[in-house]
Amino acid sequence: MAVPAPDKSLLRSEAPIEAETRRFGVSQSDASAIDEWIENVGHQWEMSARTIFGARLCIAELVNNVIEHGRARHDDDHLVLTLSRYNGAFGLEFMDTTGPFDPTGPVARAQDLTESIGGRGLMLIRAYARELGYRHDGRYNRTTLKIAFA
Amino acid sequence: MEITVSDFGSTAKKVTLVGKLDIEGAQKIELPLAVIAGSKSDVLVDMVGVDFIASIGIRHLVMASKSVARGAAKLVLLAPNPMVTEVLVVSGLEQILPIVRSEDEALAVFGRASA
Repeated sequence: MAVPAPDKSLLRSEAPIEAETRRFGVSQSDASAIDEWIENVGHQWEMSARTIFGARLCIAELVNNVIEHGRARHDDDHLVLTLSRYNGAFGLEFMDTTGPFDPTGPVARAQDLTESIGGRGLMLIRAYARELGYRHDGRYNRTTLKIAFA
Repeated sequence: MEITVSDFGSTAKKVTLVGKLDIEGAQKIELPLAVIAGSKSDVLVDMVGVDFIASIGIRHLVMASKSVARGAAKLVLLAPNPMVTEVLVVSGLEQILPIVRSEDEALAVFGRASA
């Protein structure tokens, strides 16, 4: 199956220097493969250690959300991740075919965060992402982020 | 993720974690950490070898800390690296998961009973 093209409209501030897209399944082993891929590409693109860490963290939270919350319900559910290299920033587009989920929506109340895995994950994404966008295109949740640390 | 458990001082336990506390790592520590946390001993979690942490890993540490507290004991984290520390701080968990920078500091937190 062809990998869908990244949604450039969601990261509209500048064109990436280069980009890579891969498709993954929805499992723990896929989560590990995604993490390893981000780390390798980040080093290859000479991103800072904190930028790579932030990118890994944000994507781990989005993948965890899909796996832990059981949103994957169909055999053909999958993830498509695009990594984009900007000048000093990591662009990420995380696409998933599971149920609609908007990470830009309300976060759990602060007092719930010690119990709420979803709430803490969202809070971390918002803390580490310099830009965060979301839309559902009818087939995919498309979450876009930019990570940039010195 | 590797997890090893040893005695620390006269009554406390030391849990040494090495690797990534991601979804796979969190699953590997869940049971052994829960067992230690239920032992009513003070617990030192050596985080020096943890190079990545996500919220699912934090959840297991928080659950363990709460379980330890129910036994009137304490759980502290030993020397997580700066990026892991930042995740814990951003999560607002300094009170539930206090960080110490040395084993001597951990013994001071635990008090004479663990020394």
